[in-house]
Amino acid sequence: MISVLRNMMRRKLRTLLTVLGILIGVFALTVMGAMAEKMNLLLAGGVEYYSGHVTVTSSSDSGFSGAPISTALGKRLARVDGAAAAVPVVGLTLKGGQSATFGIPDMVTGFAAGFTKYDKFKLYPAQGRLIRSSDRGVAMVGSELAREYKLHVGQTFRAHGTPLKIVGILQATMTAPDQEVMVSLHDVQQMFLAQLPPMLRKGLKAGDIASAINVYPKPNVNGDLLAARIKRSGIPGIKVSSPSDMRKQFDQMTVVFNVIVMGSAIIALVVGSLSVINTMAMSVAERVKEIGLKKALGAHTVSILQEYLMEAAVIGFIGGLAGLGLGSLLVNAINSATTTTQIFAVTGRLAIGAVLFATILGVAAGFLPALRAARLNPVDALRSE
Amino acid sequence: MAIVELRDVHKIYHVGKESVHALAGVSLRVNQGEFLSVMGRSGSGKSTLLNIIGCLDRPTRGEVVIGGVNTNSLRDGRLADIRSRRIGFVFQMHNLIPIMTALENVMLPMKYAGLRNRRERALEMLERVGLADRVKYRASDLSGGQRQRVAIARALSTNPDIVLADEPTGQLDSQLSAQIMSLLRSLNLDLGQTFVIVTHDPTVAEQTDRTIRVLDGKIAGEEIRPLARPEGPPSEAASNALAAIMAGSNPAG
Repeated sequence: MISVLRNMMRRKLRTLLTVLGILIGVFALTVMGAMAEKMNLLLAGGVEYYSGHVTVTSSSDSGFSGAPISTALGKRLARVDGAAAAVPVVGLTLKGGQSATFGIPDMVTGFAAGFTKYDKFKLYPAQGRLIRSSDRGVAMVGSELAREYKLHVGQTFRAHGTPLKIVGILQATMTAPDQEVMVSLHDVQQMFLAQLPPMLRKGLKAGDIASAINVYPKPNVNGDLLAARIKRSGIPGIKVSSPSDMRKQFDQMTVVFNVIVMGSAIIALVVGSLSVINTMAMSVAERVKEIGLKKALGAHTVSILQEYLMEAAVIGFIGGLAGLGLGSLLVNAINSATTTTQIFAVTGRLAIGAVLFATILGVAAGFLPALRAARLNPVDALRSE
Repeated sequence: MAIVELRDVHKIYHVGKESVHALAGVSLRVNQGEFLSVMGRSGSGKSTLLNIIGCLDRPTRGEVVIGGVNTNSLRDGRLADIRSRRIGFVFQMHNLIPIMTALENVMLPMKYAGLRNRRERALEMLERVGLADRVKYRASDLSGGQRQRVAIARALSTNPDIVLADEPTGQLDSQLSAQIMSLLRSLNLDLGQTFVIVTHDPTVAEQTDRTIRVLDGKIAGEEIRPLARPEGPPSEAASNALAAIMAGSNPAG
C-alpha cells in the first residue's frame, strides 16, 4: 500500500489532476444525486401516503386545489362494497401562487375524523399534540414548515388571513405532511371557500366542500378492486384514482430523478475514466523498464496487474472521497442557506455508492493500461529506456 | 551436476523483414557452484544467452534445462516461478527502483517468491555486501558502487541456485570493479552459488574458473582456469565448488 502511494507521489501534479478529474465527476454525482435522493424520499413517502386508499376527486379537478367535490358523496362512496370508510380531505396551497415550486408546495390541509383511524400513514407529534376534529383556530405544523417559519408550539401563525394557534409540531415524515399546516376540517373548509372567486363561491356551503374523498378499503380488500367498484358504481361527476394509479404517477416521477442521477454518473464516468486511463497509460509507459525488472525478479503477470489496479483504485477512491466531501459541503451549505424547502439529501446509500462508483471506475479505467504493463515481455521491457 | 544445460539452442529475432540469428546452436553445461564468465563482442549473442538461461526469453529452437527441469514446455507463470526461486539477476545498470530504499529493493524478489522473514534476510544480505549502514538510503541517494552492491544483495536474497550478472562492472572504475568481483567471488565460495558473468573485460574474465567465448551466436572457444581460485585454505563450499568445476569442465555440449 505504501509503495502504491509512493508511486502516485512520483508525479504529484499528474496524480492530483487525475484525482481532480474524478473529484469533478463525483462532485456532480453527489450534488445531483442528493437532489434526486431528496425527491425519491419524498416520492417514496408519497407512495405510502397516497396509495393506501382510493382517491376520489371531482371530475373537473385538475390538481390539489382545483374544483371541490361535495362531502355528501362520502356517504355514497362508503356504501360501495368493500369500502370501510370515506373520509373527506381538504387541501389548499398555503400561499396562493406557490403551486409551482420545486417539489411539493406548502399546503394547508384538514381531514375528517376517520383519517387517523383508517389511514396507514400515521402521524406523530414531535411537540404538543395532534389536531382533533373539534378544534377551531388551532393548527399542527409539519417539521419542514416549522423549520422554514421558525415555528413552535404556542405561537400564532396566519394562513389565508386566519390566525392559527400552533398546538403541535409533527415528527418528520420525509414527505408531504412535513410541509403542511394541518387544521380541523371545519377550519380548512372555511379557508377554502374564502379563497374561491365569488362566482364559484355562490351557492356553496363550507361544510360541503372537500378537495378529495379518501375511500379506505376494508381489511383484505384490494385497493385497486375497490377503485374499480367505485368506477362501476355510477356515481356521477367523480374521478377515481386507484392506489396503483397513484403509485404509477410517483414511479414516473422517480424515473425522472433517477435519469438525473444517471446523467451525472455518466459525466463522472467520462471525465473520470478518461483521466484515469491517461494517467495509468502514462505511468505504465514511464515504468516499462521497472516492470521488466520486476518480471525478471520473479513477479507474475498477476502481481504486476494487481499493483497497477491498486494504484488506479486508490486514485479513484481518493477522488471519490474528495468529490463526495466537496459535494456534501456544497449541499449542506445550500440546505442551511435556504429558508424554503430543503432540496438535497446526501443519503448513506448515495455516499457509499458515489465512493464505490469512483473506485470501481478507477479500476475499470486502469484495467487496460495495467494489463498492458502486466503482459510486457521482460526482455523488451528491460531494454527500453 | 549440471545446474544449467543448453542443447542446440537457437534464437532468431525478427526485426522488420530481417531475421537476426542471435544464437545459432549453442550447447552448454554449467555446473553447480561454478564461477563462469561469458565473453564476446557486443552483438555476439552473449546477452541473449544470459536471457535464455535466466528464463527471461524462450529459445526459438533447442532445449533449456534448469536444475533438471526442461523449461521449453513451461507456461509463463512457471517461468516466473523459476526466475523468482532459482535465479538471481545482476544488471549492468544495477536497475534498482529509485524510490525504494536499499532494504526495500533487496526485499522485492523475496516478496515475489513468497518468502518469509524478508526483512531479516535482506538486512543480512546488505551486511554481507558491506552496506549495513545504508539500508534506509534510497537507491537514488547511493553511489554507483553502492548501488551495484545492493543489486548483488538483491540477486542473492532468495538464495538462488544461479546468479546471472550482465556486465556487473561495466559502469564502474577499475578499483570498484575489482571490489565487486572479489565480492562476487567470495559469495560464490561461501554460499556455493553458481555465477554466470557476462563481460567484455579480460581482467574480469581472468578471475573466473572458466570463460566461454561467444562469436556470431555460437560458442567459439573455452578457457578453463582451475587456478583462478583465491589462495588459502578453501571453505567446504569452495572445495565442493572446485570439485564441481573440475567435473563439469569437459568440452561443452
